[in-house]
Amino acid sequence: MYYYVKKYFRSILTSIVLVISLVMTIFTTINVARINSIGDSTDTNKKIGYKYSIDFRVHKINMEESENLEYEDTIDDLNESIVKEFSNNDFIELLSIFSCNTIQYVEMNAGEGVSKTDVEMYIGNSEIIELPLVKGTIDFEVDKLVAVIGNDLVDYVYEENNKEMINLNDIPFEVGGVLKTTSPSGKDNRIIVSYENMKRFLQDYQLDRIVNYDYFPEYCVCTNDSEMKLESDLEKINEYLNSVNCYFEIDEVARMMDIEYLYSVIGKNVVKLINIVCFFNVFLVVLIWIKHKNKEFAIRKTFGYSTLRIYGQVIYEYMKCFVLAVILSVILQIIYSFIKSIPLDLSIYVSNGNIKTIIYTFVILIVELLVNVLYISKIETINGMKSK
Amino acid sequence: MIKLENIVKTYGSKENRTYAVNEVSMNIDDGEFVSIMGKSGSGKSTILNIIGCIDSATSGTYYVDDICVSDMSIGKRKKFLRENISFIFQDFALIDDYTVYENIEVPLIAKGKSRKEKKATIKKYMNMMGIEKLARKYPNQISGGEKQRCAIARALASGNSIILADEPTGALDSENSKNVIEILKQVNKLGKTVIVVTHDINVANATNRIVKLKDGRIVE
Ligand SMILES: Nc1ncnc2c1ncn2[C@@H]1O[C@H](COP(=O)(O)OP(=O)(O)OP(=O)(O)O)[C@@H](O)[C@H]1O
Ligand SMILES: [Mg+2]
Repeated sequence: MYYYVKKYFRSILTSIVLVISLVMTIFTTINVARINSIGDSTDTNKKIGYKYSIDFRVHKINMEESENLEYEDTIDDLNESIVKEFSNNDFIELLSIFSCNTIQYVEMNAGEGVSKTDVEMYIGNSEIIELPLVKGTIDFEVDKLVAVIGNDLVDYVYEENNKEMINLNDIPFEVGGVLKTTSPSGKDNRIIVSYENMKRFLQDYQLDRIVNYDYFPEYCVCTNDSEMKLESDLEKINEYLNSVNCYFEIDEVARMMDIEYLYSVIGKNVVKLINIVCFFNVFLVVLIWIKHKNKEFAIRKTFGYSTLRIYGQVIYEYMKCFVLAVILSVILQIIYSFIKSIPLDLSIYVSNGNIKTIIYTFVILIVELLVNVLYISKIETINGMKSK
Repeated sequence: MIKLENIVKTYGSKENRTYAVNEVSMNIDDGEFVSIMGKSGSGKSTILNIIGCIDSATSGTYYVDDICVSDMSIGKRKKFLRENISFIFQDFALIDDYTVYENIEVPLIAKGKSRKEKKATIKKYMNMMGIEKLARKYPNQISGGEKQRCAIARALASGNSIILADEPTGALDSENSKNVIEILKQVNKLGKTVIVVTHDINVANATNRIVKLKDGRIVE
């Protein structure tokens, strides 16, 4: 066994170190390529999963000046086009998540009495809305109907199973908390529910009204999986708003990064840095490897081997390690993909920019060898013989 | 026939120039068994390396069979080395990562011999040196005496007519030294020119002629 391993590798230790350093380099390069491909890919599954948030405001343009533009029409036009084009409510979600809107005609009922109430409605989650509370918390869970209510709505609260409940459009919600009134009048008829919950008690047709220009300017924060998708969404929004004489402004200053996105940016650069360190590492290992072979080359020279022939032999042995390293790296990447549930799709790695990355890698790794090979040719035979 | 004429080898710049070899001229006939003796630093190895084409003289000419080797281009000299000269070193100069068999194969690969030829030649010389059982062993697995016999087998396997040995017994005990001397005598009887650099008077006495060097010059 030892005999055959030795025969394949010649100098086992240095070869193994060389293979490991090559695997590290190729593996990190593969992953740099994968990370790079995020920009090119349109399939969200392929992205490394970073979030991007952006703040924007929607304005109506010259409402007062354009007399022939009916206010109601504008809203209707907008809603219609939205509903038409975004059947899955994507657009509405985009515009309304975490936004503040006034929704009219939410039916409130508590026990015996039924009342239609004008309520100011906030749709969002606890991360975004930081409103002071008298009691409770703003803590929304996706599959639990929870509402945080204003003072005025406390009358509608009833108790059931030791829980405080409120019916919104006949759907019972648990009262998660009560808001602290900030308005001077002391009147507070706000309701805060999560977007998902809101969809349950507002019918789809009512959803349209979330885009409401009473509250002006509209303030939206939208989050998305990627910068790319966000930009394209914003483009679509722009188109529609233009068609109804509205426009929106991206508040560039307020562009904020999701913490996950930040991590992925750091991670991305760390991977690149490690990749560079790996290249350097290969250089050093090849240097040691060549030095180890120094005496061998000198001995060969005393038997009249030509320099070219010695180069050929070095390159051949390096290639053996190199091919092995490529195979190991691919296997490692497959295992890694399973662990990290990254799709096994070649197109992730060989997108336009990455072909270059991969070619550069191979070229650099070969050049690193050749530089070292040139170094051996500088050593005289006699000095080579003396080296241990 | 090897013919050296006014061979000079210097090291260093003008101010502190050292003469490793100074105006050495000598002739060595084909099939001769010559030893070169002298104190440490007297230039023995330098001369041997110049003859062996792994070092070049600063000035002077060097002929083998009336061919001027010192004027040859590097490529031609390599070819000359490959086809005429084999070395034996004090530290054996075996390639650690190769088996005994593969070490002996090295000069044969250089000459581009066929597989069959290589196998036959290697077998022949391994048997001659009594190391046929060590074919698959690596140099770090065998004794000094065995290593030197392996190195001699390699030198012979090349089939070259000039064998240069730089202190071949330097790293061996007296038993193994005697053995190597006998082997070198045998090699000489095969018709090869053997030049041995040595400190060991026993080795020198076994040769046909002793050349003494002092400070880079021949003294007798
Ligand atoms: N690369 C070098 N640079 C400078 N001087 C050198 C170099 N190589 C050899 N010398 C000098 O040349 C002289 C002859 O060296 P050489 O190796 O031929 O001696 P030697 O007779 O073989 O000695 P030893 O018996 O110790 O092997 C020495 O004085 C040595 O210092
Ligand atoms: Mg010497």
